[in-house]
Amino acid sequence: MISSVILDEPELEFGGAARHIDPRFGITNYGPADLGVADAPRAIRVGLVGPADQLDGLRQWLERCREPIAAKDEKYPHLFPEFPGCDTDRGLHTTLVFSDRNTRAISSRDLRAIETAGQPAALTKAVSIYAEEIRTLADENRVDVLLVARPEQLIDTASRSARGPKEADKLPARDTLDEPPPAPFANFHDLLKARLLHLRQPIQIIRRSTWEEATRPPEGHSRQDEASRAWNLHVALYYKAGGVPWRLLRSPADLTTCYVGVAFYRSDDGSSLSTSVAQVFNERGDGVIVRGGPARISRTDRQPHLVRADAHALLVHALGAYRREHHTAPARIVLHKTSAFTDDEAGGFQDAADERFIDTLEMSWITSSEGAAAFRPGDAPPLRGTLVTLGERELALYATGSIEFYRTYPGMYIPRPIGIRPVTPTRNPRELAAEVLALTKMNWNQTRLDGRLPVTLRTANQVKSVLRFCPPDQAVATRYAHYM
Amino acid sequence: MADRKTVTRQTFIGEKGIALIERRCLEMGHLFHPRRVDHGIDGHIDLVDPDSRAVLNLTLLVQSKAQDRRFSGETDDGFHYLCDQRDLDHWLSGNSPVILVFSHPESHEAWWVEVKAAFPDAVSRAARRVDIDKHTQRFDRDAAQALLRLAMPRTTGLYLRPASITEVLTTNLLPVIEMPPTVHLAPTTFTDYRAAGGALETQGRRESGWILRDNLVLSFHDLRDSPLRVLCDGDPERHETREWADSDDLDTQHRFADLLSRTVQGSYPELRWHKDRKHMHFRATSHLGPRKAGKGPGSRGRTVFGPHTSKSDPQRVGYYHHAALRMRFRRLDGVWYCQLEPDYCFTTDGYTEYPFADRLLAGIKRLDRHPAVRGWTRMWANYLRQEADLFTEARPVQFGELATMTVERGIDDLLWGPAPSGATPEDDQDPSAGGQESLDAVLAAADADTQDLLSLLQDGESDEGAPRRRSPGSKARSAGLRTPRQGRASGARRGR
Repeated sequence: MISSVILDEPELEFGGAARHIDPRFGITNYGPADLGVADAPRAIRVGLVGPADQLDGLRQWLERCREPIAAKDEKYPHLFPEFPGCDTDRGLHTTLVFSDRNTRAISSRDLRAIETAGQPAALTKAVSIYAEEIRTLADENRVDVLLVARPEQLIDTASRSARGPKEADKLPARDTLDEPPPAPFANFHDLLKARLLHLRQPIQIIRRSTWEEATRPPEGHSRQDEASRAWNLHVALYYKAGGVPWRLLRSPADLTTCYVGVAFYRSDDGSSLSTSVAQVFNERGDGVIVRGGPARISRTDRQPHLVRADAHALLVHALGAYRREHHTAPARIVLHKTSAFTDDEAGGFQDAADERFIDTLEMSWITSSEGAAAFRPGDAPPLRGTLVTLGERELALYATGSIEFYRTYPGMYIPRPIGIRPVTPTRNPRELAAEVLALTKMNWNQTRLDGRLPVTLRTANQVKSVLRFCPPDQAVATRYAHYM
Repeated sequence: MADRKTVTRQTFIGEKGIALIERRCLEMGHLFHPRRVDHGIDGHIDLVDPDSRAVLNLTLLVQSKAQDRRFSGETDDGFHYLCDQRDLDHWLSGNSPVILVFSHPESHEAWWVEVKAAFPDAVSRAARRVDIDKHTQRFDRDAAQALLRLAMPRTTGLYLRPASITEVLTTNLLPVIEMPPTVHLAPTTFTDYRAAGGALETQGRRESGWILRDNLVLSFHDLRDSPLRVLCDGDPERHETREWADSDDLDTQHRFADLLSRTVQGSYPELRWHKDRKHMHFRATSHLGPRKAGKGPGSRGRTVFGPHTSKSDPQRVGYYHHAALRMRFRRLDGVWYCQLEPDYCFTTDGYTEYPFADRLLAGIKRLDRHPAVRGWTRMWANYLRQEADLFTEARPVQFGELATMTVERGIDDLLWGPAPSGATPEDDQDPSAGGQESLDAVLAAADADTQDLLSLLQDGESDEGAPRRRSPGSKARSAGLRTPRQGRASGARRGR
């Protein structure tokens, strides 16, 4: 029987172990989750790199953000709330510290060189110039986060358009492929991050339109209100500087859990090898990146899969990274993968868990394109948290949808559910889905309470798009903060 | 005997009014506390979270106006009331919202209005007059949510869970209730459909509803007595459909889903399979005029094919739209379902794809809303379920009604509005969403206008179960804050 329940909005933990469902109200009312903890960043040294005229303006705006920024629209007080200001006594309870030593302007000669170059040379040129400046700055000084102002005229480009449509043609008629092939798309963000991964320096790239009202955002990018922009930027900076803005709510009875996301990607040169990549998270949300062995596209379902030994190696590797980071082994592993599990893969992962004496290993295939849909009788789409149990191993979860707290559906397109396909029939689909729903909130790139994908897969996508520009043998940064 | 002390009639009426308010508040799940000393406020309501029963420390002040005679201008639909200037000043100057409750205690009727909403500006304050709509402003259980919203602090982030409302959700899953009992298969030398189709054409008859897999041809048709015979390279076998339909082997399931899919595709002559877009869509009519389909429970039918004039030259047809459907068969808990995903196709002449079809699709996706997709899904369900007529063969695969399910939480749509602009997160830090153009640019290139595409989405709307569409510009309501004054539509619905 197809049935449905509405899951409660998961709560997050903030300062003083206080709870709220919404990151912004949680931080405003209670401070970040690590408030008062010894290693919480109480001052964040910010380095600045970019065109000289942007650096001054950007810095001024950040100074202005020390004070509260008014809410945008009083009709939606919860959707567009006030930014409380960023200082040691409010908001994130930290302060941004600048110094001229930590500022490097991109010379006007270099900027001209970028502007006059045609596409896609301009992009490559910009990345080289910026990478050079950043390297110099990182060599000389130690900063917590590097804020990089993008050159204004630079346009992100399509770099592999020739192959796109052909690949689409080869797709099977049936809806077995989880995601379309990687978009033929190169951008400044991914290229620069890839180039600088070895520096282990968190970088935040920012557009002029983010801090300057008079500048229009680039075509296709919507513009948020000033308070929301301040929220998003500051939370990202705080996380990248080592802070914990919020964390998943845990009860003392819960087992320490290691969340692993496994995804596949193609390298930039398109060589057919798909390599798998795993992100390892704890409930605090801190991620570690592990690169795995090659994957093969299966002939039966046309999805990438690992052979047993590689699946085994990947999880052993991931658990090693977890141990290095947390100095302990988890009691439970939750593994999310972007393609179906073959017996080989499930076996390989299980072997690794057994070897390490981990009792609980839960594996699910999470698909972002679940086709089953539910319709409410009214105008508003289904509530976020609507869980449809299609069968004992097939669940559809609305992670985007109408939100009571915001009193609206805050999205542009019709919300679509994500699919959760546990490897073994699940006794409690509700708990399984509630955990996935909670993981959608662990995203420090935005501060709304909802997200479409759990952190395991969302970050997998982000890491993928950076890693595809890194040679397979290059050592990669392990902290997730270096990719976002 | 000396005169005894008496109670006035008006005191009784007043007390009955207060008692009525108290009872109604309890029915709503809130608490009413009358005041010991009354200076133009009779009491306050202590609001309670309907879900957790938590006392919220949110209050509303109440002034009762009880009468046993009629209010000024009272009819079956409403009345008006002229406030005393000093009362009005008192109510408006406070720090808590004030509601007025008008009642006829004898007949147990009560209505309410919030003072600030009723007197939003200087002109209305000078007039001192408040109008009550008896249908939409009843002070009863249905007002509980509106009272909560009225008192909710705007900025402290108080969260209340969605209300306990029973809602029936409809899925896009259409169950297969009947299919042929036998699957026929035979070895074949054909490996691709094009060649096999060519061989069939030599037989002079179109035949659909077969698949090629692993050097076999499979069909629900008896391969011996059909043109499909030419595809066989050996003796056909018969198998019970159940063997295939109930198989746990994934490959067999996929194969069977494929067979169902092709069989259904072949049994609706009005539909055409579009290979590149991998969907079925309605064929053009012979005269290229509009075609309607899908009339049935919950839908008045929609225009599934029709011409659209060009924006630059209204005399000329710019493109034709065809309602399209992506379908996927899947077995869930032992039942086969056809999963319906409405789509669109655009042609220049009813056949050739419109050069800007992708633009139009992008445009329509941006305008598409939940009721439109629900409407199209119903249309397709009705159409696929329709019984075959005299001119068509009985369909081999028959469908039941869209699967539904009941949930215990829901939304009062009339308290909600559309998503505000700017609600979509900025993509500054999200490189995955690149290169989108504005809707206007997209449509301009496709020589189409927004209204035209919207008409496609709203065609046949007012499906059963969907509340009336909001009139454009009802901004106050879209803010999700309902006051009785703004809530006319809700009462109209409830009043029916």
